[in-house]
Parts: sequence; C-alpha cells; structure tokens
Amino acid sequence: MPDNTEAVTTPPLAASTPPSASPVAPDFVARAVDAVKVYGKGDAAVTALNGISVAFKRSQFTAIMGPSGSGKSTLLHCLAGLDSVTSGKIIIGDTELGTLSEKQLTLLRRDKVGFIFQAYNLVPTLSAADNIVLPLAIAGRKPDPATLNDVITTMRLADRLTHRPAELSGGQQQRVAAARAFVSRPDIIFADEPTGNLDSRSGAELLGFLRNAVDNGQQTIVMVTHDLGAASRADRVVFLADGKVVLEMADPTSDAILEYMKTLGN
Amino acid sequence: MAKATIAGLLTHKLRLALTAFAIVLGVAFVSATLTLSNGLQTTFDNIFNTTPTGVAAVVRGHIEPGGQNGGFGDAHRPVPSSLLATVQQVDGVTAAEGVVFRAGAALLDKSGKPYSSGGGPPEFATNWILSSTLSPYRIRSGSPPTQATDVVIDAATASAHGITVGQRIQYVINGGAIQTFTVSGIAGYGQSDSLAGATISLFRLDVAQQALGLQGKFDQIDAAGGSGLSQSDLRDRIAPHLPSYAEAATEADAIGQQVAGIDSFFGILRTILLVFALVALFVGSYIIINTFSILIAQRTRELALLRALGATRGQVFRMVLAEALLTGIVASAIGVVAGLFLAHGLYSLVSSVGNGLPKADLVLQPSTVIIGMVLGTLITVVASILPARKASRVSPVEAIRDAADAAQPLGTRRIIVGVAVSILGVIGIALGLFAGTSVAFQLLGLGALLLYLGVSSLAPLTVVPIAGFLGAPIARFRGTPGKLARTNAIRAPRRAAATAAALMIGVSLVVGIAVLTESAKASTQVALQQAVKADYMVFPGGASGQGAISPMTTAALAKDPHFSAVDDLKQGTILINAASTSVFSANPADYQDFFTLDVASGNPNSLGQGDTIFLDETLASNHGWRVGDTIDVNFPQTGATVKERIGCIFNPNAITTGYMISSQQYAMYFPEAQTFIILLRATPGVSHDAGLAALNKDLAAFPTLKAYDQASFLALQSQSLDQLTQAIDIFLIMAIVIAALGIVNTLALSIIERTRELGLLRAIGLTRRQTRTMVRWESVLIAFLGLILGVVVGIALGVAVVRALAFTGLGHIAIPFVSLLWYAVGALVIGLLAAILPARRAARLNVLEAISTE
Repeated sequence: MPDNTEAVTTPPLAASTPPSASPVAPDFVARAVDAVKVYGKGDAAVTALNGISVAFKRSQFTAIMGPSGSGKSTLLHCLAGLDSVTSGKIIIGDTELGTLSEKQLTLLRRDKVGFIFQAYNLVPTLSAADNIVLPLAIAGRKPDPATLNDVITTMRLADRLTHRPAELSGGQQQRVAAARAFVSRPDIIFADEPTGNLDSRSGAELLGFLRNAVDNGQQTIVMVTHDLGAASRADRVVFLADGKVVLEMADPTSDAILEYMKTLGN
Repeated sequence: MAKATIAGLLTHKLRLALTAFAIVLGVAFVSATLTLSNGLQTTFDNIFNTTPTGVAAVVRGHIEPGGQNGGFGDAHRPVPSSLLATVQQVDGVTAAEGVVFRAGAALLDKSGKPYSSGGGPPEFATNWILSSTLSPYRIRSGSPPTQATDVVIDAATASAHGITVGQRIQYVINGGAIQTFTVSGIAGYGQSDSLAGATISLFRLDVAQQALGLQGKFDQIDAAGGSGLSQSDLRDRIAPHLPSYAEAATEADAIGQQVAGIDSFFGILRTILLVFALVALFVGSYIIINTFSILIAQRTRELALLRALGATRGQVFRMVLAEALLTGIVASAIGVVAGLFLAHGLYSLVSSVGNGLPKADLVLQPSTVIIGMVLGTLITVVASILPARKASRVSPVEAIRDAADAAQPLGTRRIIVGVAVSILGVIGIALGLFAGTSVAFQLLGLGALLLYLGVSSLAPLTVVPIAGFLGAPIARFRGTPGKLARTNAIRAPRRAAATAAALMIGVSLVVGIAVLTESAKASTQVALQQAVKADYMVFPGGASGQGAISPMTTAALAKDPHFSAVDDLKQGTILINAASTSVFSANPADYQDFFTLDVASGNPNSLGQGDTIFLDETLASNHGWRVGDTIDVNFPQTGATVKERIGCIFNPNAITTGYMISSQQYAMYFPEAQTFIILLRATPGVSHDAGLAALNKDLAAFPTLKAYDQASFLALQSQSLDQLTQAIDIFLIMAIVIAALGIVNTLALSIIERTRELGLLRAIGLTRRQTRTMVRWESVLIAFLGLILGVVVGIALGVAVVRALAFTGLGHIAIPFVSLLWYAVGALVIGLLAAILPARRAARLNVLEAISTE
C-alpha cells in the first residue's frame, strides 16, 4: 500500500528528491518533466500542455481530472508514448521517450505499457482469449499460464474466452480489454475514461478490478476520468487546468473532489 | 441530390480513381484494338482501291474451296490459256492478258537462306503484264523481264534487302530447287512501293507459269474495254462467250472481293482482340461492384442520414447510379484517348519485330469513341446496380446505430441462384463446344460468362476453408501478424471472394489455354510414339510451316541410298454434302511403312482399291457411317463427284485425322498437287544420326525445306504452341493487372475501414514492420484464393475444350503442373506487389488519430 499521508508533489528533477531514494527517483514509474505540447503553429497554435510536471509512483492508482480542454488526454497520450511533447521530457522507468525511434517507442508500448480505452478497442476478428494475449503474441511471447489464469479468473472471463467481441456485453468487453492490459504485467497501465461507456454497475465492477490490481498486484495505474465515483477509488487525484497541474489530492473522496470541482468552476 | 452526388464523388476521389483506373484500362484496350485494326484495314483497302488500272473485267474459273489461287479473297479455279484468244476476240475488248499470281516465291539471301522464315507477309510470284493499260506495276528502274532468267521485284523488297538492278538473286519457287535470276528491273505497285507489304516477284509469263506449275493455265484473264463501255457492259459482253467452267466479273467486283477478304481478316483479328478487351472490362466490372459496395458500407451513416432527412429510396438509388455514370463517363473518355496512345505503341512494337507493317493512319474514329464510351459507361453503371440497391435499403435508423462490420452469411437464395447460374453456364459451354451449332462461339462466351458469375456468387463459401487452410502456415511462420492476416482475409468473405473472383477470370483463361497446349503436346507425343514409323520428316521450315514442297524433292531424296523408303503425303480440299473439308493422300503400297492407322473397323490394306476412302471415327459417328457405306465426294479441282466406298475407319490422333485417299485417286482428282510432308525411313544399318546428316546435306539444294526427326518435330510443335500461348497470355495479362488493382483497392478500402483497429494494434505494440507483414499476407491470401478458383475453373474449361476438340486428334488430357507452380509464384508476386501501397499506408497510420477515429 502506498503511504496515503505522504504529500506527493511533483519532484523537480534536479532539486529535492525523497531522502531514502537514489538520485534518479527510482520509485517513479512514469514522469512528465516540464512537458509542453503545442498543436498547430502561429496564430492557430493551441497549447495543450503548458510546462506540466507530474510523477507516478509504483503501485499507485492515480486519477487525472479536469475540465474539457485541460490537457488530460494529451498528457495521457504523451505519457503512453502515443504522442510526443513539444518540449520537456517524458520518462518511463529510466527511459526518456524523446530519445526513442518510432520502433523503440512501439516496443516500449508493447513491453512496458498497458492500455484500457473508453471504447474497448478489441480486435473484432479475434476471440476474447486471443485479444487478451494479443500484446504478448505480437511480441512473440507465450503468456505465463499462472498469470493468465489468474487474470481470467479475477476478471470472471473463464466462460467467455471463445467469444468474439461482438458476442460480449460492454462490461465484458471492457473486462477483456483490462485483462489484456494486465496479463503482460506492464510497468504502468493507462486507462482513458475506462468507465465512460459502461453502465454504473459494470463501471463499479471494473473499478473494483483496477483497485484490486493495485492493492494485490502492485500494478501502477493512471486513469483519466470525468466520473467523481471513479476518481474517488484512486489513491490520488491530479487536477489539471489549462495544461497545468492545479492540485494533487491524496486519498480523495467523492465529496472532497466535488467541493474542489465547484471551486474550479468558479 | 445532384449536389450530394458530386460531393460524394469528390470526398472519395482517391478510391474512385482506383475504380476508374480499371475502366480506363479496359476501355483503352478496346479503343486501341479498334484504332489499330481500323487503321491497318484502311491502309490495305486503300492500296487496292487507289491503284487505278485500265482493267475493266476479269475472267476466271469458279470459286474453288480450299484453292491456292486466293490472294485476299476467295480462291477461283484457273482457266486454260486457250481461253485468252476467246476473250480477246470479244467485241469491245481492247486488251486482254493472262495472269498467274500465287504465293510461294521464297527469295534467298546471299548465304542461300530464305529472307523470310515464313509467317511474315506473303511472297508472291506473278507474270509481268505487257500492256501498261492492264498492269498495275510501274517500272522504277531497269526494264521488264524479257529473258527466262529475268525478274522484276517490288521497290519495297528491293530497298529492304538492298537489291539493285543487274544483281543476281536466288529463289526457291513452290518448294523446289534453287533457281538463279537476274534483277532486270524494280517496280512499284502503282504509286506504292509494294502491295501491302507483300514481296512480289515478276517473271516472264511462261517462266512464271512453269515455276508455279501452271503450264497452259491462267489464274485470271484481265481485260480492258473501249471508251464508252462500262465495266458491267464489258462483263456482259464477255460472259456469253465463256465456257461453263469460267465466269466474268467487273474489276470493281473483283477488287471488292479482295477488299472483303482483307476486311474479314481484320474483322476476325478485331473480334479476337475485342474478346480480350471485353474480358478485361468484365474483370473491371468486378472491381466496380466491389469498390462501390465497400464505399457504400462505409457510407452507411451518411446514407442513413440522407434517408432520415427525407430522401426516398429511389433518390438514394439514383444518387449511387449517378455517381457510377459520372465515373464511367470520365473514365471511359480517358480510356478512349489512352487507347489511341496504346495503339501507337502497339503499332511501333509490331512494326519493330518481323517484316514491319505498312504505314497506317492511327486516328480515333467516331465509331471507336462511341463504342469505347458506351461500353465503359454501360459496364460501370450496370456493375453499380447491385451496390446501389444495397444503398437504397439502408434504413434511416442506421444513422444513429454503429455501422456493423459483421459479415452477413450467404443466403440460401444466393446459393441456389449461384448454383443455377453455374449450371446454366456449364450447359452453355457444353452446347457451344459439342452441339456444333452456328452460334457455337456465342454460346461458349455466354456460358463462360454465366459460369464466372455463378462461381463468383458461390465464391464466398470457399473463402473460409481455402484462406483458412492456406493461412495456417502463414499464421504458423509469420506469428501474430500472419494470424491477423488470415483472420482479416476471411472476416468479410464476400469482399475477399469478389476481389479474388476478378483474378480468377484471368487465371482460369491462362490455365485453360495451358491445359489445351499441354494436351496438344502430349497428344502429338503419344501419336508420334504409337503411330509414326518414319525416321525423318521433311516440310517447309519455320514455326508457321508455310510454303510448298515440289514433287521433284521427293524424287531427289528417294535416290539417296541412306533411305530405304521415301514417300510424300499430299493434301487437298473435298466437298462432302457441299461442305468443304480437307483430305490427305498416301501411297497404298508403302504408307504403312511410315505410319500406322489406329484401326477402329475395316481393312487398312484396302486403300489401293478403286474409289475407296478412309476416314476417322469422329467423322464416321457424326455422319452415322460404317465401313462398306458409299458416300458422295466432290473434288472441286476437277468438279467430279465420285461415289467412294468407306474402306477403313480409324481413331483420330494428332497426326492422322479427317479423310484419306490413295495417291492414285489424288493424282486423278487434284491436278494441282499440294505435297505437305515427305516421310523417310533410314536404310537398315544407317544410324539415326548418319541418316539425318545425309538428309540435311540433300536438303541444301532445297533451302525452304527442313528435316525433322521425331524429337525435333515434337520440339517444333511445342515451340509453336508455346509461342501461341505466350501471345494469348500477353493479352490476358491486362485482365490480371486489373484484378491486381482490385486487390490494391480492396486492401486500401479495408484499411480505411479498420483504421481504429489498426490504431489499437499499433498502440499495444504492433510494429510498422509487423503491420506491413499483416497487410502483405492478407493480400497474398486473396491472390491465392483467386489462383485456386482460377485453376479449378481453368482446368475444367481446358478439359472441356480438349474433349470438344477430340476430333482434331487431341486425345490426351494433360495438366501442366510445372506451369501451375509458376502461376502460384505469379500469384505470390501479385499479392506482394498489390500490398505495397496499402501496407505502407497501414504502417504510416497516425496511431493517436486512428484510435480516436469514430
């Protein structure tokens, strides 16, 4: 369990580091350092990330919230190596993404990163089982049977393995997508509004699985969400506005988040 | 709705460009074919029509089926030279001269080899016409032939070979021995350098008659009339004086017949080329159906929105048809113009090989433009009817529902219709091949069309088993990208099937032709081994085997002690029930030393009995004849009708088919003999090679003839068959290229459709290289699907045609396995090439945009 009382602040790279840690902050799985992302040029330029710095500790469940256009999704895409920053750094483990070639980025996504998207994003021609092991299969690796079994059991998918995505409910599809993210034991999982398309029961169920993976599987998860309930299941909430972190809240509750959102609204 | 149509076209311009390209290619092919054949035909027609002579009427024998006195029109019997005096005495005739004019004067180069290896333009021998009123020839330099060794040649041939007046040149006329002549002059054909590219050698009349074996005969008598007499007046004055074996015609009619002969030759050529062009367009129609279907599937939401906003089904239907109409018109127009350039390209290509073509004006004639535009547009519109119907059935509610990617299973109705259409196709093909009707080709074409449509509509059923099976090794060796390629290939069976079916058409034709060729080779080989006892064969060289054999050659070879038996076979045309057919003659005394008949019934030793005819089993069963029956045989060279008794019925093979008579009968009924092969057996004790060497030495005096043993005969047959096959395959490549474009199109459209899925795969770690691998193998799988369907249909068609041609001695069905392996390599290459652009596009996909695509 992460220490919920610790005030996690953005670590300036060179300056203060946690006393017990090595100089390069080994406990951070992913970091953005002074990340700037500008879309377009000249008058049409839009700054999505405005020098943002944020870090994610191992075995921590972070929710990212903020109004539309605050840069949530851009941050997630940049952290996951799907998009590049205009300036600043994105670091996964010890690797700075800006130094990587397209191929190295792809391999990093394959080996170190898991994804859960809002719209499930399963391959329609493959069975649930094949979808779950797809990242490993692409890498030419066999899944660890114990892990696979564990994930399938946890996600309650044992009786759905041979089904195609079209034959599964939304909740089941999202569980397959989550199982796919978990099975390769990535360093970090990025979830983009994972409950956005689910009814409240399925959504709550999925959040339970995510929570469980962090608590019992030492999984690191970063989740972008609009949903107060979803965010309240995280270990901390990072609020963004105008491409910057405006607040980090540890051990969030729905009420606390709602209160803060109201102040943001003003 | 017009606005929506135009907007729809512009939004999808890249995809439509690919579709349109299929039409452009097909129409260009049609347009080039018409332009080239029209241009050449006009050129040839002009040569005849614009060379004025004073000839007003001609006298000649009646039409002789299979005769050699052909030129470009029907062959007529020659007339005796004594008839000339009769014509000259007719009141109103101011000048008349006899003419002999036949092919078979081979000009030799300085080393004694023929300039033309056969297969080029004909080499005519004729007589110098003395009257300048009657003669179309005009001396350009030198003088007319006055000595027995004089020759005048046409200016085009002279300049082609650098021949000058006074030079001595050698000839072989009618397959005889070498004769040396002196060039006394060089002449033009009217204003032209030559008669449509043919070589013309003009000799003194008696020399020409002698050389052509027409002593005392004319092929034709040309007559001029006094002023004030029209051509028909002159004809009508001459006609009453003629004996029953001769007829008079106006020069205009005679030229008209020649021109008609040329036109019908080009008509056949044009038909053959148009068939290939139509095949290409037919394949193109598959691409259109497929592209429009995919585009409509992808535009379901947009169409549903139009419907939700109040557009009627009819409006949606008409909108899609209007899109097709516009596409068809634009693509056809481009195709027609492209065809003009293609025609110029083909013209230069053909001109650069062989003996060249006469100058032709290659211009777009109005008829070409109309045919190209109508065909291209019509095919596009017709092909879009099915997709348009599908579009009109989109329900408005689909605007808010997610477009489903689910593959619809084939309905029972479609399967029943598919099977029924295929069966109709097979029936059509069978009727075309075996029923012997006058519309055989049309039935065959219609049958093939129906068969292709039927098989295409059933093809989706084969996608899962075939692509699943072929995909297994790919999935095994290419890992996950291979596995994804396999599932992608079979996820939309209709789409994959339609794409593959387009390839199937070209492949099946190539395979069918290959089966035919292979069977012909095998049949020849078997016949040679089983029936031919001759050690050597002699006939005019070259793959075309054109030219004559002089009887003196047989006599000369018979003197060589290396050979124990030497004899020749002759051929001619006979009429059975007024239908012309060919007959060959053999010497009853010795023919069985050279070949054996595969006797079905009767006595093969009865050939020498008077008025006895042999025939093959196919003919016998077609006519219901048996050994001992008597049939009426008309010999057109003498006009005699003889009651011939059937002495023997033999099974046809690749060497002996048709009717056979004794050499004694032949000598009686065919005054103008035509030897087509000399057969020889080596004297016992003379080795095979020594005999062949001796034969080649003997033939040095007859440079147009070549010696073959069984092996080289077979090789010659194979070579000419292979050349024909290659020529056909070149035309079929167009159909295959269009089908390959179809694969590109389908893949590209599928990739657009799967953008989001590709984005996901890339996001979770599929590398660009793996993405390309995935697309590439999907493409190869579709190509192989087309290959397999094509091979199956092609073998079926090939076998059916071989069966239908059994009467020509094609008794053995052979499947060209080696060629099939090459076709598989070809399919692999097509698949790989077709995948290049789509694969690149898939690999370059922006991952972030792709996963956020709706």
